Amino acid sequence: MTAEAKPLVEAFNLKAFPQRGLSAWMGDGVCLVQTGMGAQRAAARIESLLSVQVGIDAFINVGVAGGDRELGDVIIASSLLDQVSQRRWYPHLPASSVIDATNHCEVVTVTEPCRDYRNDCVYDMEAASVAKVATQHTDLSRIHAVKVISDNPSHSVEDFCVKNVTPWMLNTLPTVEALIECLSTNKHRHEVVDFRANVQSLTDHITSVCHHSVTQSHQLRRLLERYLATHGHLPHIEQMGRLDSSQQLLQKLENELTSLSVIY
Amino acid sequence: MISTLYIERDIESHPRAQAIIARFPKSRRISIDRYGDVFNQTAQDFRQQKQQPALILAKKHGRRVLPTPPGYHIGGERNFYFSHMLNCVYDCRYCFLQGMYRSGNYVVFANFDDFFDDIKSTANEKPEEPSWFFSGYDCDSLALNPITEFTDDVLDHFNTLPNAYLELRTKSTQIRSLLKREPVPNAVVAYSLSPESVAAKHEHKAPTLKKRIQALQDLQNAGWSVGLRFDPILFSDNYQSLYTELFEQTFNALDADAIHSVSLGPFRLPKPFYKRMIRLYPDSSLLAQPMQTKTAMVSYPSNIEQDLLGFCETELLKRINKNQYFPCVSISNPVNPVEEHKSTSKLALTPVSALAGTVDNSDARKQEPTLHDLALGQPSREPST
Repeated sequence: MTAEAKPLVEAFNLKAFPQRGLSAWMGDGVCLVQTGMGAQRAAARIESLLSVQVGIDAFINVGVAGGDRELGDVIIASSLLDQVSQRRWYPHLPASSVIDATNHCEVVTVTEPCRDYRNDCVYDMEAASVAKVATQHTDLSRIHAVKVISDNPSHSVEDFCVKNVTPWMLNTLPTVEALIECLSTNKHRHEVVDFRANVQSLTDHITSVCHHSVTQSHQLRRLLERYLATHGHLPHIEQMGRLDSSQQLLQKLENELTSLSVIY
Repeated sequence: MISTLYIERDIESHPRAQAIIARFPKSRRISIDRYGDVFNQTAQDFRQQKQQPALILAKKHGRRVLPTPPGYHIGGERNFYFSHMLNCVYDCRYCFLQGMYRSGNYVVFANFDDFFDDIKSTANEKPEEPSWFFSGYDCDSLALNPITEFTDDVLDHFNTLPNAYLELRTKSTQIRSLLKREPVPNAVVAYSLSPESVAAKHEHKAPTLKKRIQALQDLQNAGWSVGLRFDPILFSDNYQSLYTELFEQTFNALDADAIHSVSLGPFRLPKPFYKRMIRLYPDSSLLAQPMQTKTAMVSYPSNIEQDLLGFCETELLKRINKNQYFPCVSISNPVNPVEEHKSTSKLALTPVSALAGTVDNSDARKQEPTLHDLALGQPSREPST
């Protein structure tokens, strides 16, 4: 809901992202989409965002939830359960030095507001649905849910008042900021992402000037990966000779890799 | 440092699980039904998890002790393996575990006693014959010992089984608990060794060669039976000088006659594992080297492999007796292990997670990939050990 999005928009200095049918905001390396209420709506909005915005490789579902905890308490999901399908996901949580190890529990995604408050889980209406879509695009170390308690046994969902949401959502900011920092500064991931991007870029360039079949394109990409892994740099395009035969090019790269010295 | 503990509800009150949990007072604890729910779920990234692995405490159900593949032995006729742990604290780039498991998290099965009962009953099926039990193929036998205290328990158990022999395969220098006690005559502590520069490049987080040799020396001096596992042998243009130096360093430090067994194996991986490892580590220079696929296994081209193994075998046999030597079957020139086993009393074929071929996952709700369908299911065994 808008009251949930507002503190995040302000904290991350996000600007509205004009896209029909989507309430979304963009900022420095962060994109926020308002999913709306319910699993189907959330899945559809995430899919819509992914269709117009490339390069999204991490997901944090932030919002309110009900549970047997104090109002305004913040938890990170240690597991996400889709109550309908009974499918469960376990996000790979960051080190306890990054995210407090104490405030975690299962988030159960339900179709109707739940009044059966428990202290070992919280209930929401979107998180598992977001995870289901997100796992098609990335791995579980990059999919998280952060929830703030908006209703509990003393203040049931009928007492829910939208004007309280903004201050509660402010409580989530330290956790969300820590997660974003952790996800965006992952050196090991950046290394492999950059490695793949460099190889893909040269692959695309070569296949744009010299026809390769799909199989040959895969072979070329792997040969370039091997070249980069063994030489520390990609082959210089001008040193590769005429690029008028894909077969010759692949053979040339293969020969070069086969004759390469391996010294420890 | 372990930040997250997943604990099966079935095992959380077990004293050993409680002892392990107590070692991580600041870690988050998450109750689960079965370890496979976490360990085998989809959308995991082994490489990412390896940077900050979680520890899963579980109860091993089903078959805990399994026969090794035919020909897999270091001198015995009856050979079995067991894994009290899945995954390894080290991060060796050639290790098949990277291609076998979806998860980089560690699983520790806390019900050691059930393993020991199964070992005892397996050994007593033929009490007149010695039985060998191998530990350390899906994990490192010693590396997590300060947390699990596995070795003390398993050695106490083997002390009561005169007809059973134990191999603890490792790269770890966590030998304090071994040095504190009397050597167990029916146990062999076997170290995986690689040339120093190879270890530095590809055996991430593992102790240096110097430290491993020192550990071997300390164990031998204390009266323990030790084994040497030169597996996998990796190719380089300077392999002759590297492996000559490795053998000199190792045998100069040890009493060669007292070494229980020495094995030698080529780099080898089942093709599906190799493909998965390339996806995980496209930037690995080891996996970028020219390889060939043969009988569903990926290994060095035949001529390279034969030169490597031939050279190392010649060098080793200058230093040890033939009855101490257990070579692996060459991938490029495989013999039929069953036939070989019939024709010679002493076979070859060391390592390998052959295990991978026979891993029993009956207790995992979602099954881990295995090598059941592979004709020659013996990857470069060193899980990292």
